[in-house]
Amino acid sequence: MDLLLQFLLTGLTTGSIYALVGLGFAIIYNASDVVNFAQGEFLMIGAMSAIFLHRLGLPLPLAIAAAVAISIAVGLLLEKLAIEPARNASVVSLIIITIGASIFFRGVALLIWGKEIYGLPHFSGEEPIRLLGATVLPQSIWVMAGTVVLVGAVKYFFDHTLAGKAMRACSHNKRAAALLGIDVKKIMLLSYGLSAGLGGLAGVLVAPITYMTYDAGVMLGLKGFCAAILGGMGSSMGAVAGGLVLGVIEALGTGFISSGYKDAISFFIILLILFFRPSGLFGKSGGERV
Amino acid sequence: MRRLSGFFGLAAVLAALPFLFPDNYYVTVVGTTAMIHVILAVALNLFMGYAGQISLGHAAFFGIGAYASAVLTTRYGLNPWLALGAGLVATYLVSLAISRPILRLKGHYLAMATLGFGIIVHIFLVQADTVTGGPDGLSGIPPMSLGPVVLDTDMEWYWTMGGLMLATILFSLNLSVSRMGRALFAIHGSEVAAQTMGIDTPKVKSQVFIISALITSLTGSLFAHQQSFVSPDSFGFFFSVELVTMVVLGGMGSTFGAVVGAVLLSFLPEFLTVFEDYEVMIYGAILMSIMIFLPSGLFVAVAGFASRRLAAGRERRRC
Amino acid sequence: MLRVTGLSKGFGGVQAISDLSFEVREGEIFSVIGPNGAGKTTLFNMITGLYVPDRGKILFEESDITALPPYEIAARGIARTFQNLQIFLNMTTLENVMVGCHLRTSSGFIAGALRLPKVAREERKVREWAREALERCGLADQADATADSLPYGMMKRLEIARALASAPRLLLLDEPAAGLNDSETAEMAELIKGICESGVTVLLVEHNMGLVMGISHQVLVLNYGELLAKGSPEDVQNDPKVIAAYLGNG
Repeated sequence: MDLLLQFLLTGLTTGSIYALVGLGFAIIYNASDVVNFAQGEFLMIGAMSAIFLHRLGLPLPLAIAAAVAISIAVGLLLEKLAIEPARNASVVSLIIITIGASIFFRGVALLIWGKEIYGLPHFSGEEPIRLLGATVLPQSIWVMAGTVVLVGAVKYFFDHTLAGKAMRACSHNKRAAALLGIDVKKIMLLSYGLSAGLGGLAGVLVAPITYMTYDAGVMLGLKGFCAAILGGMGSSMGAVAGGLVLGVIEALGTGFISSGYKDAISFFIILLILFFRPSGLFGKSGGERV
Repeated sequence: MRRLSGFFGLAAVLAALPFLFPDNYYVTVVGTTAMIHVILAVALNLFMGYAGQISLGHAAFFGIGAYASAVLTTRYGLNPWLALGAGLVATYLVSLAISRPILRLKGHYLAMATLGFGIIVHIFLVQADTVTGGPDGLSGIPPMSLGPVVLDTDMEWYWTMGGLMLATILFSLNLSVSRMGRALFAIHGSEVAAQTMGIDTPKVKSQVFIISALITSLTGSLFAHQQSFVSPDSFGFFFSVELVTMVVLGGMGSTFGAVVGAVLLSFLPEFLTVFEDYEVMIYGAILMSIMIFLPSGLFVAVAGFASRRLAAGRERRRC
Repeated sequence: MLRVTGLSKGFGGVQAISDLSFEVREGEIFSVIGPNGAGKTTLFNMITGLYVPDRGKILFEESDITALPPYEIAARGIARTFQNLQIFLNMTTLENVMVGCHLRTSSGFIAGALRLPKVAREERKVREWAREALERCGLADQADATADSLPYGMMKRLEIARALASAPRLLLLDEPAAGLNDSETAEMAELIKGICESGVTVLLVEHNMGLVMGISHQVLVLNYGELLAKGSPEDVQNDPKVIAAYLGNG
């Protein structure tokens, strides 16, 4: 029982990160129909920037804020320089463009930071907290609480702000949105900024636990993609739920089967989902969007 | 024979290069690697360019072939050709099993499913270390022989891979002007219309997927013997991406587009090593730029431009 | 030849076709008309297997084809065109039509890739059939043009040529005259009549009343998925229910 709780806590921690990446995925997919394979790089950029700004002597909160700003800037540049000029490209071309972007970002990171492994100090100490027989790092609580706050903020943004509602309108029907006077271009740009900012923050939150390298974004990005599919592509809150479920399954798989096959288990589940329920666990049935 | 003029031109270049540049590293070593890539890209193009599907997991089939050969020859002392056959059987069974459910998917979903498949196979290669040797891989793979010739020099592999490459290209070119080739193009153009023309699209898609996988696996087996060493690094997600890039870079749907894409991407790292640390960054930038500015692919765009110029020239002369 | 009984199909809350029955006789031009949203294209999609009906049966030449996959229905001898054109834009005009010959030929992947002698023979025959079909539809001089360069009117005829190349016994035409000018429509009428005279039964969905009334043997009027009237063009034109539906209920 204690063991199960332990796995659950570990799972929810990683799951929170997957949820944030998945949410970022969903935001961009909804706004622009692009599956952004560079999503994981936002995490890497956020985390790496924070680590280095902190090393340069910036206080942690300031370093984090600056790092998130850097991620957002990268997201905006990606949209402006790579996605917008290729508006009419095919699905395959767009996939290659975002993969190219992710390789480019990794290349830049490699150039600046090299191949070494870096860590960020834990936000509030490394003394584990005991909880009903399980132990949990304070940073895990930061991750989980941070995710709750961020997801809540995104939900508020979509439901109660003009820009958020405009973004939702764009995801339903771009032409209709444009006719209503919504500046679709601006909304696309905003979605990339928002998604990159979320990614950057997720990276900063998780950096103290997992450590960072220039190529740490790859797997995290793919897991975020898994989360988005698990929850049902196109559903933001579905992606969040999908991320949490994926994290827990992985933790259980690691605990009870083998840590080496942890990623294989995730992808196996994704295959099953795609084969038997392509609309995702939480999506409405009816298959893919055509 | 005009239809095959490009093919014969390529064959001539292939035959001439070793005599024009004897013992040249770029011909024998990089050239052979490029030819392996050409075979893989042409095979993937059947599935992606012809039939309009996407696979981000083709490296897995390359790996299944390579590891079947590596494991069976080093651990069980099997004849290389039998091991190669076993690799083909394994690939056939795997691709057959996943083809129907996977090929019901389209677009991003298909990309994700094939990607997931590729990653699972890669993880298996890394983790099942008692069989595969784990992350360190397997070394000491014996050379294979082609009739009386034992393939163990660079030149011998150059001719072997060159032969297989030409065969694959001819296969692809012939297919493009045949009934099934047209069925694939039709699926690419409109799957619904293809079905109402009587094309059994699930079956045809599955067949082309399996054929593409088998060619890839066969090449993987040869690759294992050529290198005499395999490790999981050669068969991961990035290699799948590289293969897709070769196809798209040259121009989807064009056999010679795939050839050009594969050759370019094989020589690119050789030139990028000059830039050392900038290599990865420049690679990514090139990839993005070509897709943004020449979405139909390098070869197709250039060939299209050239033929338009030619046509314009002819027009002028007629006046 | 084609018998539809009790056919129904709904999407969500909307009943696109309800309890529809009719029979198309061999050798005739049978037209289905009705206002937009009457369920005409849904009917075509069910006959050709793209949609599975909720209830009812579709019999073609006395055998049940309900819910067969589209390619099996095509193999029975039913071809169609689309209202929203489904041209293979990545191919030439001739190649489009050659795809239509898929069912009349048999070579597989390996034979084609090895270019066996049998394949070369087959290719010659396919080219011949395809050129014939292009000729019938007045597209002979466009054979080598890429399909996406054709003007709209020609694309509509290309779809018919492609369908004819499969040598169907029943041809379903979904609004072949939509978007055509008067002279093009007249040509289309001649083409359809010629197709029928060559022994192919035609099931036609069309908005252009002049065309429908001029060439049809039987006309069926659909209104919100239900059969409103059925009979000869004259009968239908004089049916007060039809007049009311078309002129509004005022």
